[in-house]
Amino acid sequence: MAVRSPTGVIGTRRTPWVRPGTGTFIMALLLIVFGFWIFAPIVVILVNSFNIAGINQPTEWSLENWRIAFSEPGIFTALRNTFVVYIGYKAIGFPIAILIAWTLARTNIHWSYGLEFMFWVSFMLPGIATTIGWVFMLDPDFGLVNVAIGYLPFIEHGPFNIYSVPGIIWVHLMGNTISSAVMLLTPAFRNMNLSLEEASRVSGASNLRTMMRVTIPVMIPAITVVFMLNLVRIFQSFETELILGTPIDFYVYSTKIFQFIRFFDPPLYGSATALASVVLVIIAFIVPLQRWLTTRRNYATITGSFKPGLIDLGKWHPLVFGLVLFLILLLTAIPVLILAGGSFMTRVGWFSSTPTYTLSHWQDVFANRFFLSALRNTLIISLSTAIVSPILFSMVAYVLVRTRWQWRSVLDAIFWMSTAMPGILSGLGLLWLFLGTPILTPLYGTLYALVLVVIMQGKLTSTQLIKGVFLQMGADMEEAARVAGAGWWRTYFRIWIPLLMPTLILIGTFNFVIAAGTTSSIILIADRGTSTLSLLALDMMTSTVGQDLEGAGIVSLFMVAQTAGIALIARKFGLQLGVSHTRTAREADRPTGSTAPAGAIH
Amino acid sequence: MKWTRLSMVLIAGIAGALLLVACGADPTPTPTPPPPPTATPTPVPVAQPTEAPAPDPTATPTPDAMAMFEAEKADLLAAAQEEGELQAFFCCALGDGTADHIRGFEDKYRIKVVFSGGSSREQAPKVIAEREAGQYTLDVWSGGLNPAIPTLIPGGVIQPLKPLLFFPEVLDESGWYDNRLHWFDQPDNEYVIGWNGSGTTAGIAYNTDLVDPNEIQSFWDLLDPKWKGKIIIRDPREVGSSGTTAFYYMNEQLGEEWLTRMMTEMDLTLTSNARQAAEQLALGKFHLCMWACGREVQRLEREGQPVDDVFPHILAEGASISPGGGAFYVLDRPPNPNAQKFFANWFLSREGQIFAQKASESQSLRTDIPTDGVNPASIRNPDVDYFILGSQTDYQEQLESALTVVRDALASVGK
Repeated sequence: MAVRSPTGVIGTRRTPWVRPGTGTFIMALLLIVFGFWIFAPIVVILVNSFNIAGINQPTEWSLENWRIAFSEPGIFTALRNTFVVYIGYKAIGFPIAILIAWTLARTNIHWSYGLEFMFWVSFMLPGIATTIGWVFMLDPDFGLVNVAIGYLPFIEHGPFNIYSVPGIIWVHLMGNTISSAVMLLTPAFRNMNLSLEEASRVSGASNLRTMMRVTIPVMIPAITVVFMLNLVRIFQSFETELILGTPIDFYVYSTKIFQFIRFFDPPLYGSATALASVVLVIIAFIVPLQRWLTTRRNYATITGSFKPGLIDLGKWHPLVFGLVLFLILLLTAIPVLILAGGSFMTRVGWFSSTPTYTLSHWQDVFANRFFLSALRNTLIISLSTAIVSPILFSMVAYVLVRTRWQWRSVLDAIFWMSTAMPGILSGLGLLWLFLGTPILTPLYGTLYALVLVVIMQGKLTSTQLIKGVFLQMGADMEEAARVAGAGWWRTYFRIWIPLLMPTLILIGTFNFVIAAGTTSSIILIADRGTSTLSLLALDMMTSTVGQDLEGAGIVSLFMVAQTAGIALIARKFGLQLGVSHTRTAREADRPTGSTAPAGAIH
Repeated sequence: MKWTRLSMVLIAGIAGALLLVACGADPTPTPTPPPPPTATPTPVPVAQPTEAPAPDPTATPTPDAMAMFEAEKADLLAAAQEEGELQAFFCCALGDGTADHIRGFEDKYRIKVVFSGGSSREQAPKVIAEREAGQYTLDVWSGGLNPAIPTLIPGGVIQPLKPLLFFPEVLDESGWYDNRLHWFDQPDNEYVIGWNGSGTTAGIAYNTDLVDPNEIQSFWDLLDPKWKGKIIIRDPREVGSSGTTAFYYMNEQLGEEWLTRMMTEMDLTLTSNARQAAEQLALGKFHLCMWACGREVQRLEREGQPVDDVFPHILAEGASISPGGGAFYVLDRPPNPNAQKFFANWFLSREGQIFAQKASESQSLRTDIPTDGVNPASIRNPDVDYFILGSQTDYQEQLESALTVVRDALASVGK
């Protein structure tokens, strides 16, 4: 008999196919590989932050960079502002996302998979398009919404001002805040066992009460992970704040980090590192907290006695469907119009330009000598990431959740540490890693280096999400497979991979999007031969002869089209697998008379 | 069986992706690092100059001297062609137009120019890290005085350019503005040469519907309370707009007082985004735009918007020329030394500067070439005695002082 912990973990003492020796070896390998990859750049950057010597000067250790960083005028105001904005959009966006994920996954809302996919599309759209789009809508003087309101009787002018704290929060909500959370949470909600909800209803609870008292508590691991994945990136968002906040003297913490790099030559990487290291404090809280939350009780919902089924929305169906559709429209229409429509305008959003419409941006993009190679590179890098990362990180997650090997918590903490450094700093660390590690140096300047970087880029999100799903899975199916004589690999590919498939498809798509859009982590490693569409778009955005937002928008459209195409294919494949709910709760109670009832685990 | 098939599909997918990477990898990735310092940098020997007396720039070259020059040039070109390519970093003033115009050089001289672009701020640490790891990947660099002077020269990244120059038309100083080559690395005067010399009238962009430029005759007029809250500027603390700050600070008629009052009294709106600044100007939300709004304003003007950055007159305190992002330097231990030397001479020749003008729309510091392709707003006024920024011996110290004044002033008003 296997030893089972409250989370269904199978102990190595009773798992003959994974001998303790094997576990020790595998864990050591994982710790060395991931520890080196994650820690080496961070440690080098942190150590360098104490070195104040100039270029080609002997090392001089000092706390000066740290003193400069934390004596920067307005730094604590910026820290407060960061939390104000974060709490603002998270307090609104996260509950909405949970509600939508629940609706899409647990109710019989029409076209639920299509609606879910639209949130994926929203996530794929570049943030800059959302920001610019909403500037055109809500600029206090010229925003279309304000101007339209101005035509109403008794109202002189619209009340909205995008250049404000609420404006910044709104753009975050319309950006990735809601869509990414819906994207990441919905598969977890789909793994919910109807029996638990039925028990609640039998006890007289309403659908809403059932959701609040049963469904969401059971989903705590997934919700916690998604929330914390956002929290550790609190200091990495700055594009929106830079565009909308700077004109009103509203600075956030990430703006200050950015300023140490942009305002000094040579850049003050040491001081920027000092500011960024505050994330380590957050990580120090998150790691034990999430570990406690995910191990204190049993969250298994998918066991051999799993009962699929959906909740009937009844008379609320049209209203709920309409609200979700309206939100999707808000999330996608504005950026898509800006990207697609703007690409045919001389200047996006400017109807007074001469000429107003033009094909020149498209001609310029197709004539760009780097476009085709960037397109090819992006496809190669993103596809490799989408295929490798779900498999690789599902195995890591398995080790973290389903074994009792020592040092698992250390491995988990190492993964969280990977978010310690924001964008350009981690990019610099990776550059040093490639140039300073003999085994990696031959890869420098090739596409392999970029593939490696982007595969590893998704490690935290991928591992944590799959961990969440593993926590939902009971151990009985794995035990049954092993009793039947299956080895570890056979069990993994015959039991776990099918059960995880929707999440793996999600992770693959998620990492494809991240890989296609990444800039800061690869900008120092790529050159013209290995450049990607995202770097090409960045080049256009920072062009000295004028920021070519329209051209960058066209490049982004190609990225979105690529990603959406892959996502559609992946979903078509993945939705035939995994846990399926095709019946409402009432139908689920009826005997089907079939040996393979709808809603069974395929 | 179903899952066995699935496993096979996944494994085949991974293998396929890796194969795709292998096939798709750039056949000419970053060039192989050159051998360690003790070895010859490349198999192609550096073409040696023929034993000839140094050309006298002011004298008309004799037929013999010309023949020797042509022979040396031909030898160098042949050696450069044997190397086959040039690794370049072009940024800043040399912008997007480079890709189209560089083809002329490639076709004529059969040397492929592999160039990257982007931000100097990111390129500098990358190159330094590469060199610390023994990788030497770049031959030439066109960019700003930053990072060349504060970072690349102290880091031993760039080598003296002056000894490489031998084209008579490059060395002939009468072909250059102010009858001299413009070196910006004081006091050595041999590493960093300026090629961009666009003129400005006031360096102030304005909304033509809201501002009559004749209202402003002096920079001090900008401190009039009527402009308060009506000026948007690119953040002067950013490295890219520091030349403008230096001009105001180093100008004896303006200096620290003007700069401090401008930062603290005028309720300035700051942005890091030049396009955003220029568009807000065109929309009439602001009347004036300062600190390097010109490029974006010029684009908007061409699109029919009511903005301009050319004043009908020079302001009382004068006007400046700055190389901005238009300086040129060559890297130490280049992977293609012959191509580097040939390109450096070609780039500073008439033909090269005509290319640079077309690629950048900025006026060259060469005075013996037509101004075709140059943005009219950038063409120097021959009647103006421009203050040439960056050529002062204490320029870097003055610039740092100017930035300190700006940082302190902005911090005092909570920005």
